[in-house]
Amino acid sequence: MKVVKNSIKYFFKTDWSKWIIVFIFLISLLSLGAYRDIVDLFTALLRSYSDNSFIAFIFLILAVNTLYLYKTLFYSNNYLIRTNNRFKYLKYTLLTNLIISFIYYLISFLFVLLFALFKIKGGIDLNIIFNYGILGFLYFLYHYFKVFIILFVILNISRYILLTFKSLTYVAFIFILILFIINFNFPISLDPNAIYKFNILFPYYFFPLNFNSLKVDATYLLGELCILYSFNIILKNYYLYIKKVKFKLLNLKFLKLEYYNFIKDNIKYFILFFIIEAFMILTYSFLTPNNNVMYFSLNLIKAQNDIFIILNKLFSILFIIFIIILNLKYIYGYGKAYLILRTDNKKVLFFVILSIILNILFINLFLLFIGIIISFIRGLNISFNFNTFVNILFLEIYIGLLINFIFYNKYRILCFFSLIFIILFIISFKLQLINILLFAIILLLSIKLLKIQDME
Amino acid sequence: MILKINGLVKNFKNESVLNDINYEFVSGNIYGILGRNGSGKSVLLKIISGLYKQDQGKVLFDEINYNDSNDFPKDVGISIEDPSFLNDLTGFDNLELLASIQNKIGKDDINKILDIVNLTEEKDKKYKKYSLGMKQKLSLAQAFMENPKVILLDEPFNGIDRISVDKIKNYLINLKKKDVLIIITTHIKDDIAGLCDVLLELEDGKIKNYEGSKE
Repeated sequence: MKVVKNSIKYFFKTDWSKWIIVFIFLISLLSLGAYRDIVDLFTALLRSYSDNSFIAFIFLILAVNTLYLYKTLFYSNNYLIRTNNRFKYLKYTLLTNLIISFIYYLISFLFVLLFALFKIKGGIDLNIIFNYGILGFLYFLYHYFKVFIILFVILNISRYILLTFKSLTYVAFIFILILFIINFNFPISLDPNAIYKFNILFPYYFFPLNFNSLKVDATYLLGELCILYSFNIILKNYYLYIKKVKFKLLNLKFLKLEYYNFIKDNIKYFILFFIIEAFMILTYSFLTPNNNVMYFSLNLIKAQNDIFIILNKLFSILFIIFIIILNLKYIYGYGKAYLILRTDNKKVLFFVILSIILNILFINLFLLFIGIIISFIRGLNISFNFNTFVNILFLEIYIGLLINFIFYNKYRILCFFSLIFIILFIISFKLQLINILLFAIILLLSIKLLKIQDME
Repeated sequence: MILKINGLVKNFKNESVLNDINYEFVSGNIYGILGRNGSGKSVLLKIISGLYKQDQGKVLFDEINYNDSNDFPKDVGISIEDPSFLNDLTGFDNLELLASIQNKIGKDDINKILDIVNLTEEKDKKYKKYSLGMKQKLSLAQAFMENPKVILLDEPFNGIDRISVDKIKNYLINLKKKDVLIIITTHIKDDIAGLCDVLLELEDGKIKNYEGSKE
C-alpha cells in the first residue's frame, strides 16, 4: 500500500524519528546490567528481553511514538477523510504504526546485540558463544517476537483509548501499564505447574510470561492474544460508535421477559434436578460423614478416586448440557422465528449467551446452597473453596457456549476442536490452564459475533 | 450533484448548535454561509463531510446517506480548521503524503495546485517555517488537489495576501463552471462578496437566505 509506504518514508524524515533512535540506544544500555554472569549470547539476549525495566522502557518509547503519530501524521481530518472509510483509516494507521514500531524494535535488537557481543566476547570462544546452537537461537527468536506481539497488541488497545478519549486518559493508561510492568515480578523460568496458581481474573495476559515448557508457554500466549484481541475489538467498536455508527441498544426488558418464559416452560426439569441433587448430597453425607458435602457438590479436580463424586458431577454436567440444549431448542427451534420477527439475529444470540450463563450460574448456586443447608442440618464442617467453584463454573459456561456456537453454525470447527481440547484437559485435570485458554477463546468468539457494526 | 440536508440537529451537551437545518445545495454553484464566531459553521461543514455525527436528520449526497455508516462521502475536498500538517516535512512532501492515500494524482498535479495557491516558491520549505498565510494556502491546496466534486472551505482566506486571494477566487469560479459544488463559510462578508452565487446566514442554529443575496 502506497500510503503506508509513504507514511513510513516521511515519518523517518522527521527529527522526531531520529530522537527515538537515540532513546532506544540509551535504553539498550540498560540491558548491560542484565548480563552479569552470563557466558552465552542467546541467554544474554533472552535476559534483555525478559528484563522488566528494559521491556517497560521499550514499551514506553513505542507508546510515546504512537502518541506522536496519532497527534501529527494521522491526526489531520484531511488524512481521515481521504481514507473514505473509518475502517480503512484504522487499518492504514495500524499497519503504519506496526511497521514503524517493528523497525524500532529491530533497532533495539541491533543495539542489544552489539552490547552483548561487546560484553561477552572477551575471552570467550565464538563456539561457546553459540553453544546453545540452533535451538537456543530458535527459542530466542520465539521469545523476541512474542514480546513484540504482546507489546504491540497492548499498544493497539492504547491507540483506541487515544482515539476515543482524551490524550490524558491515554497517558494515564500507559503510566499505569508501565508501573505494572516495572513492579511485576517477571519469572524468568516459570515452572509449568505455576500456571495453576494464577487466578483467572488477574490480568497476567498483559505480560509476556516465560514458562520453561514451550508447550505451556505457547498455549498461554494464544490465550493472552485472544483476550487482548477481544479488548481490541471492544474498544474499536466503541470508537466507531462514538464517532459514527448508530446502533440500537439492547432491550434488556425483552431479554428479561424471554428468560422468564424459558424458565417458566422448563421449571419441571429444574425441580426434578434439584430434588435428585438434594437426595444425592444427603445420601453422601450419611455414607461418608467424615467428608465435606461441599466437596461432594462442587469438587471435581481432586475427585478422581471417588467414583460417587465423579458420578454426581457427571450428572450435574449432563443436566447442564440438557438445559443448554433445551435453551437452544427454545431459541433456534420454534422460538426463533417469532423472536427474529420482533428483534434480530444478534439479539437472539446475545439472549442465548446470557441465558446459558444465567442457567449455569443458577444451577451451581443451587448446588452450593443445598450443600450449605445439608452441612448445617447434619452439623458437618462447611469449607468452601471459591477458586474451585469459579473454575468449575467457568468450565461449564465455556462448554455451554461452545455447544451454542456449534448450533449457531459459527466457528464450528474451532468450537469442535475446543470441545475435544476440553475433554483432553479434563482427563488430565489441568483445569486452570484450560479455563484461561477457553476464557480467551469464548470471549473472542462472543465479541466477534456480537460486533457492534453488525448491529446497525 | 445535489447535496440535501434534511432536519439536521446537533447539540453539544445542552447547547443547541444546529437546529433543524433544511437546505438543498446544487453543483455548479458557490454557496457562502455567513455567521458570527461560534454560530456552528464549522460544525455544519464537519457534519456534511462525515467528520461529526449529527444527533438527528440526514445529509444526502445524490440521495446517498453517508452519515449513518463508517464511510465518508467520496470526492469531497475540505479545508476546515486546524489542518495539522507534519512540521518537519516540506509543504510539497506534506501534500504528496496526503495524495498517496487515494493515489489519484502525481507530482505534476501537486506542483500545479501549488502554483494556483501561489506557494511554488515556498514548496520546499519546512512546514514549521511557514507563516499563517502559507499554512492556509497549503490547506487550500490539499482541498483542491484531487479535483473533488464538492469543496468545503472554512474561513478560506484567513491571513492570505490580496493577490493570492484573487487568484484562488478565479480558480474557484473556474471550478464552478466545471460543475463543482463549493460551500464557503466565513464571518466576514467582504471575503466572499462577489464570489458566491448564493449567500446564506447561519443564526441561532438555523440557516436562511442572507438579506441582499444575489438570489
